[in-house]
Amino acid sequence: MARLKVTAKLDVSRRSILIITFLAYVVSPLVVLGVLAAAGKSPLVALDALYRGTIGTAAGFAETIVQGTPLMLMALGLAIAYRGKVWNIGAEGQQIFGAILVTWFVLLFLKNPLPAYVMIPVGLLLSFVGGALFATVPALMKSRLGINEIITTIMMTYVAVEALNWLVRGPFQDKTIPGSYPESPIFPPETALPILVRNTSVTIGIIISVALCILAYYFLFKTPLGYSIRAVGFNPSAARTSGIPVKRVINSAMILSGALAGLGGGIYILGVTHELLPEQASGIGYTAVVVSLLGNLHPLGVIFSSLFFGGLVSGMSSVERALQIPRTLSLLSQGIIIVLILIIQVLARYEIKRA
Amino acid sequence: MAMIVDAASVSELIAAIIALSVPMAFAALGEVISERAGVINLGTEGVMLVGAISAFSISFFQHDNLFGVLVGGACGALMGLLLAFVSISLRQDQVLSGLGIYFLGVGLSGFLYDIFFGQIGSTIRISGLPVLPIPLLSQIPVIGDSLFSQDIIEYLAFVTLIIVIIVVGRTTFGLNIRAVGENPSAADTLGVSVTKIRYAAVIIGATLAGIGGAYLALSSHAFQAENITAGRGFIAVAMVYFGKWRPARAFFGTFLFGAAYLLGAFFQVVGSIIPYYFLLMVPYVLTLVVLVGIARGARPPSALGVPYNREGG
Repeated sequence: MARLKVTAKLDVSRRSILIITFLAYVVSPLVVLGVLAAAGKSPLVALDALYRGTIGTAAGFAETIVQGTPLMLMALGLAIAYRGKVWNIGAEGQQIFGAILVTWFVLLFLKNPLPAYVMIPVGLLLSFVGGALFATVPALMKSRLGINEIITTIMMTYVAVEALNWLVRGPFQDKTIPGSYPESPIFPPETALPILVRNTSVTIGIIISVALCILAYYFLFKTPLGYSIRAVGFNPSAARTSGIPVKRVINSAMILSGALAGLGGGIYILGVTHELLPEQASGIGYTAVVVSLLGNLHPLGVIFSSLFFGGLVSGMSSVERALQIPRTLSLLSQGIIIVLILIIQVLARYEIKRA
Repeated sequence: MAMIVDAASVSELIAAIIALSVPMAFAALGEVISERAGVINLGTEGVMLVGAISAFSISFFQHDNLFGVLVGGACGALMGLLLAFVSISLRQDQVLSGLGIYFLGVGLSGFLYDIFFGQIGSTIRISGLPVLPIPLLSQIPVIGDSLFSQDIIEYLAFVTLIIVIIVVGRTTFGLNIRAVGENPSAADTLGVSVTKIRYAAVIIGATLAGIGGAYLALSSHAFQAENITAGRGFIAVAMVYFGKWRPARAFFGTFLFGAAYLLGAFFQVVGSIIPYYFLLMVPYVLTLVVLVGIARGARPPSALGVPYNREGG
């Protein structure tokens, strides 16, 4: 085995970051096609289905945006947290809890809903608050007691999933339909997010999401708290020495990321499903981890990476239909993509030479 | 509620808790070794999943459960090798590397399940591991039947615990593991290869996690397509904190969770006024509570999570 020597580059140029990011984008769909070929399926048929499921047809493109919207918010929150080296892995649980809180509110007004201009803002606000509340537990456990947030956020996610499973079969279940399906009553039309493009599910959610990404860019790079988050992530002890309240910064980063994840869950339930389903726990919160990495943990990068992944999700479901392949293929592709991104990122930060 | 507690039921209870704990116990032991060398393997859950699907497939197609456990361990080792490469050689963030391994394990196990078993409609069952009662000891009243009448992997778990305690505490290799976890540059100065020792520790640790996953799959007889581990890998990592990086404490810590899983299964059978889904939450809530309880006073290996770079950069 040839011995390789890895040395850190002193400064990473913007150009090399862009090249590396581009590489990651090219590699991801190749991974999917490679896995398909390995599983004995035709990559060409898959490529065609992938194309039609993403940018090839209007319906595919709409679905790309629909899938990308909640991902964008969740990945945005994670990008902010990860900038501060706060490893929130529980966006899944936070978005579920956000959706649960929205459902609770909507069910209160199921028979006599208030006007849309009350229902929608309050609903979205509650999803935001729900995600924030759910993230407060791991935030405090980390900042006060130094408990590893990866473990706590994952444990919290399991709790949220079981709570969801219970609610859709218990207190929130639609008792009016026979057969007792695990789902809540359909939400009244007053709660549906306004549609942006006719005959699609593209709602104002995409505008909210993109606007928040731009806002987050200013927050992260132009405000004192944003600077503090990045400083803590870069070097916690130096940040502490220079007077940054590290604990408060950790709390802010975790809670803000939870809130954005919750909002993602809220936008999904009010914009797409219009009822609480067990499938709210779709694993989208885990996908958001990959999306935030692919977006280089940059709020503007997340806009692209989430739409890209929205396309991958939408395209993969059309591939799955065309080739009769299991849904787990997407999961496998995500796993390979995340490992490859980690390896590719090293190329930007280090020089690898023969020693 | 009047419960009739007799010797036989206590014995069955202990046996059930051991069986539920052993997968996590293996993974926790592996994680102790890895973390003592300074590398967190947050992908333990994914490693267990890969161990589980590979062992289950071998058991189903080859009808050889012990070979299945071996293959499960070997596949775990491969996952460990990948983690070691990314986090030790490439010095990528250990948290991210572990996450990558986790996602890869989830995807790989689900995909392999669909490939191998997706077409089979009915529930797929395999035979369990044979029970080997130890003569005389298994005759002891109450505990004999549960402690000394188990399958071979359960005995192996306890044997592994003893080996890990001895190797980590009393051998040169163990000393090197601890040295590269506490002060890698000092170890390097003394001629210990930090990279080699860390690779070895991570791969051994992942092998144990793979065996744990394998045992989980084989002892549950029927396989769930997704997430058969249901967080056990992460609980194992939490138990290393709980055990303050000591093998025996981490090992027996997992028994608390074996009991918690049993509670869920028990109430599922007998029915209860508490909704079933709350019982399913118990292990996870318990993990959170335990972590809060032991938060103070736990001191990890000094170099835990820090990639080693000879040039100091």
